[in-house]
Amino acid sequence: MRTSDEIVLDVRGLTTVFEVPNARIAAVDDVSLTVRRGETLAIVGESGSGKSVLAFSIMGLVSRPGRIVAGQILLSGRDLAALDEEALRTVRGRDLAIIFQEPSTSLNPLMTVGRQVAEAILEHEPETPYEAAMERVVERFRLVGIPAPELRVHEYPHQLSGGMRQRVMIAMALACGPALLLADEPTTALDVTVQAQVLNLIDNLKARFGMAVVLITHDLGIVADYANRVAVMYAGRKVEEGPTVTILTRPAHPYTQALLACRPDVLRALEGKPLLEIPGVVPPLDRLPAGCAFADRCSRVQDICWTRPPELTDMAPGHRAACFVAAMHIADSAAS
Amino acid sequence: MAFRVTANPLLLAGTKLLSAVILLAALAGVLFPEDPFEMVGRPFLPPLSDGFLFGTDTLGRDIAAAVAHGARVSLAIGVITALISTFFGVVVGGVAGYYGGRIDMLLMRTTELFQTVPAFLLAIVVVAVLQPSIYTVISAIVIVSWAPLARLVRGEVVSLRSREFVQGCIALGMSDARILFRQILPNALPSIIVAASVAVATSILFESGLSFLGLGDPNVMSWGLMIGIGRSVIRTAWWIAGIPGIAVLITVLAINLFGDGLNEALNPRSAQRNSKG
Repeated sequence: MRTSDEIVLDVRGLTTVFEVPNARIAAVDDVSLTVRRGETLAIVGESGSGKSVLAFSIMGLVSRPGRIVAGQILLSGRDLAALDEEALRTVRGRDLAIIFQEPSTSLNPLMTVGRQVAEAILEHEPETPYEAAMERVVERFRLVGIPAPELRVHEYPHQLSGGMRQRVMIAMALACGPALLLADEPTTALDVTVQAQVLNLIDNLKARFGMAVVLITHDLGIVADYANRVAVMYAGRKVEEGPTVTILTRPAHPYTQALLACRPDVLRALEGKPLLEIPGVVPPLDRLPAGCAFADRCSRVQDICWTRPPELTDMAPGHRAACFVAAMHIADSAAS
Repeated sequence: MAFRVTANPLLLAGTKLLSAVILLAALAGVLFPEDPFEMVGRPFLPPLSDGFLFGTDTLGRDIAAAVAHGARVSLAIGVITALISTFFGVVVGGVAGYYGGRIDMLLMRTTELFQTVPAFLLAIVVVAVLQPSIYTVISAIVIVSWAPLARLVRGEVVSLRSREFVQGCIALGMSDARILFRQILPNALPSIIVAASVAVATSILFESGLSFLGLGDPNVMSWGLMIGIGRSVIRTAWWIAGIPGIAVLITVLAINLFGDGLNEALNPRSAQRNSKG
């Protein structure tokens, strides 16, 4: 899909720490991102890599003991990190919205789904009459592919299937036409067959509303189909970023390479080969090594990797990775 | 909240008994049109005397009429105090549970202060200081009964606060008041209703106890006042205190059965337990 040049989200040097007794854990450490109108940026990483905290930081939903200590979150040029709670509340839901992973618990069990979406509209547009808000809900339900929307709005969450509930969540997120949509593993809890429907829907709506989408996932298959660009996170840091094709075919960072190698492959499984895994686990964020956080799991580790954290280096236009080995490799090939 | 009343014997018994008491209160003016304070017969007539089903009291007042009119007063006091206590409980508990932190700390320590003082003694002190009247009795009962409700509501709100749909509402930019009153509290309603219904029963007992000690409103014919009147003659004319006592017993029992039954009906966990056992 064609993306415009208009930058919707510009995150600069965002650092979110959790201050617990005897430790200060940087769950998001100096991360910068940009997302343009009509673009989908995928954020990929293992559990504990900080991708969800990043999304929550952007939404301003990090709660104690977590805190944004540095950086800017520019949404259409306005710094959300500098806003107070009251100002942030008017932005949330109207200019940026989030879809959570678990549609079964993300809806109030005692309120009809239509009413819940209408509440979201009425909160931001109190002058809208209830009937008009409800009409818009029906129209949004139709848009997200809920059959017989004028009947469905009167149903309760337990009467809907998981896929339908996730569509309701999407309708709720889109209720006020946000500029930025954050999708935090939106299909993890859904059947494989429904996953594609929901992701296609998000993709179509992105074009229709001219939104920017940040798609948080650990599924590289989804990345290949729906993302324009990919950012890979490891231990709270962005370790690689680039166009989807480049990241999937010529990843520079050993972690990205390992991640790609670990994808479950049906054919490999049929040949009786075991699934590959990355040895070890993500290091605890309060005991990060002095050097590269991935060093102890890396197959290409060098002495320099233990000394200091690597910085993001250009691999190709728009493609950057934080790896000493990859940087040396690029430098060598440029010299020869 | 679909449940079958008939499937729950506790709720059924409670509902029947309670309906009878409410019916008696509603029909008091029709059955006994004259003022229950009116002296209508010879004093100390035993129950089943001619024209006086429950006999007469020390001044010749009809006990049956007083019981019927007293049902109104006792139920009204019970319901009003339960409503006011629930209101304070919901506000204090809701705010404490929703905001947490220092506000929670402050409010919960305050409720503990009220809970550590023996409830009935505190009620006696309040009424004694403020002069007995229907309003001071109601205030005293509210003062001693809002705290447990606040703790209950706080617990519910704390657990609902962390649910994903509430997080979703915050992510949609909803205001705190809207989230608390439209999203969280409706989900806590079953527990609140059950606790409030039990609070009605306790309030009736409190009112009876206060009136028995002469701290009730002497101008309002409540069951407690009747028991108070009969207290000094309990060895020679047991019915003067005994019959309103039985009325209190039946009503409190009915409300407690109703509350317990409601709890079973509204609580899916206890429903499962019953069907297995």
